[in-house]
Amino acid sequence: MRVEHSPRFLNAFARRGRTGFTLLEVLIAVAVLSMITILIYGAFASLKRSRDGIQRLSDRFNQGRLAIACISRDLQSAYLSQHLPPDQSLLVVKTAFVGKRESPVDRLDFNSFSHRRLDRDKHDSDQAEISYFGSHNPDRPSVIDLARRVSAHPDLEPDKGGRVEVLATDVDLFSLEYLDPTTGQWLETWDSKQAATGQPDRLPLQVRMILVLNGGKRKGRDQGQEPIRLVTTVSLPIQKPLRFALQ
Amino acid sequence: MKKTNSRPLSKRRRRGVALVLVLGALTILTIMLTEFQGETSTDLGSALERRDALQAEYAAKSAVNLARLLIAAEPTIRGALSPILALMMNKGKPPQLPVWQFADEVLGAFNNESGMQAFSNLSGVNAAEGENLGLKGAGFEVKVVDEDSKINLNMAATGNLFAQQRLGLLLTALMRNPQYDHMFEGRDADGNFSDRSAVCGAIIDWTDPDQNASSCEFSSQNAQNAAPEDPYYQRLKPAYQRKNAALDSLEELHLVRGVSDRFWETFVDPDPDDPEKRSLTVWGAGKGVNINTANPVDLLQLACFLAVQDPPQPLCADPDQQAKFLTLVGLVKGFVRGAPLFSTPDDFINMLTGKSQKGSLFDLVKSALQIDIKPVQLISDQQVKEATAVESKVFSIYATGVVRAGKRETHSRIHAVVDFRDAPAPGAPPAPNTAQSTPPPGDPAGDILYYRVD
Repeated sequence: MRVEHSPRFLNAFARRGRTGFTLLEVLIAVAVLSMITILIYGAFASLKRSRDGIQRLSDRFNQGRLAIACISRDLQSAYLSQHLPPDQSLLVVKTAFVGKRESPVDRLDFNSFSHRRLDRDKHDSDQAEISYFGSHNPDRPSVIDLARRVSAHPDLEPDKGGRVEVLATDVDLFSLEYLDPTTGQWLETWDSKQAATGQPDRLPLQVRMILVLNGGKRKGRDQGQEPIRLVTTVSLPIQKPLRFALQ
Repeated sequence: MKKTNSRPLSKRRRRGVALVLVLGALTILTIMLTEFQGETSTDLGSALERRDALQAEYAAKSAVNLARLLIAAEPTIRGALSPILALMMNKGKPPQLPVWQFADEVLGAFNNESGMQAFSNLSGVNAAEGENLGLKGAGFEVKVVDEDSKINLNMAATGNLFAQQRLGLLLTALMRNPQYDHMFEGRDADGNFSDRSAVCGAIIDWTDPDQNASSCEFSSQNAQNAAPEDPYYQRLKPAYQRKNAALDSLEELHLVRGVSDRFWETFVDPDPDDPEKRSLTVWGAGKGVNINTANPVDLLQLACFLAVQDPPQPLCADPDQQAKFLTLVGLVKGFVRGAPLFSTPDDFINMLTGKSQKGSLFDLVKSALQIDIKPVQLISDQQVKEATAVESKVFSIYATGVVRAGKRETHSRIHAVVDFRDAPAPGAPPAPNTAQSTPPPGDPAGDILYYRVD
């Protein structure tokens, strides 16, 4: 059976045929579109990388600053107490301020009035034993984290007990120095418990701390990124051991 | 007639692809920019908040140091005003001036604009004309509280039986009111029963150096101090032991049996924003309650503690007499606006026993308002002198730094306790460098016993 097409239909078909793409046109169009897509993707990917980098740097700075603020707050409320029972067998609380030089993170154990009670009717006070020390990251053993230990019930061992939390991850250095008020010299260690070699029943006038955080990932494309260095000095207002109830 | 589009179909198709491409790119860009803007705003807000918090903390630190300076300057101010004070008090050496009660106004010269205005209202001097005075972008509120006007919980720490009994009686008087019965009838948060006597005894036992259980039921002398202290704290989770030594801070009281948060809000710190209302302390100088700065309720409790119990004194048994006493003291305190009421403990004794001098302020107010208060029979004048003081040496400074920026307001609060017992007299030469074994000399601006930043 023969189908007769009207002249109008043939006319339209011929017009469509004229406007169709040749293979070359299609190839060029695909190539141009691919180039544009690659350029746009490249721009966006670069933007995202930069933003992630800035975000990571910002997060690291935030982490460092928060760590410094937390340590400063704890140190400002550091105290030693001489409120002891006359009978030493009844002694249940010992206070201390002991700073040791360790690498790469120094250790500091002390008592402070900075603890916050969070739960109603809980037998906690504002007193706490606090420690700062280096701890190996459980996921990446080569990485050292700065840890904070807090025990809300001071006891006979000012450097033990309580719970530990990570204050800053991937720490390159945490260094502490102590200003002796009697000599005016900065010391690398401090021990309020040692009568002969330390600073018995005394607190430093100031503590200077340097915290260096690794700037990014240790392996991969960010290797060699500049570390973040934070330095501050904190004054300790409570200079004498507490014995106000005995005067 | 059908309207036809004159543009060729291929052109229309190409334009559609471009539109889709542009719209797609715009959508991705908008999403990215919105997210970027959100993160930037959060970072900026966080940075500004941290900056304001630091500024507020340093404003509060300034307030603490200025308040210490003001308290340290009191003897100098007293010396300058001694001729006028001698005329006013009519005898003896001039009493301590409670300059700390006006700390917020006096230190306004170093504060922000509103503080300077308060200073100008008080002194008539325009502080804004002074060079380099005042803070810009930050301010502070400071309140100084006299710790010697409060009941010292560390009284029992020395092991002195008289002091322990005194503390027990003062605590019993504090908790005596029947409206507090419900607090001591049920189980506490640890599931134990702790009545008034148990809580009072637990507070004394926490600080006293012995291992005998204390009781605050002094009327029954049976088995006083005979039983050993119980292992109450070892049964708690986590377990700990009673200290048998003085409290280092007021909050240490939370560790003591029966001191629940409700107890704290009722008896220890009823209004954290107004530390004047606090009745208890651990930092008092220990020589007795300062009768010039104690609030009327604490003065009434002190009077009843010093009065003979048998026969019961009307002031301690009759609510009408108590109301009159509180009215009288409140009126006189309001009238003198912080000036000391008593030069010596003898003035307090005379006031209680109705032997106030003719023409004294108490006498004038009593006669003018016809307030009839029955004389109190005291146990002994000596005991009154031991339990009272007219000067204060230990102060709490509550300083709040405030930074306002737009709708945001940042606060930082510092609580510092300062002890002036070892402070050298104004003008005294600085103490020489001493050997490490000897105690260091006192700070002229007071030794800090407690410091906490919130």
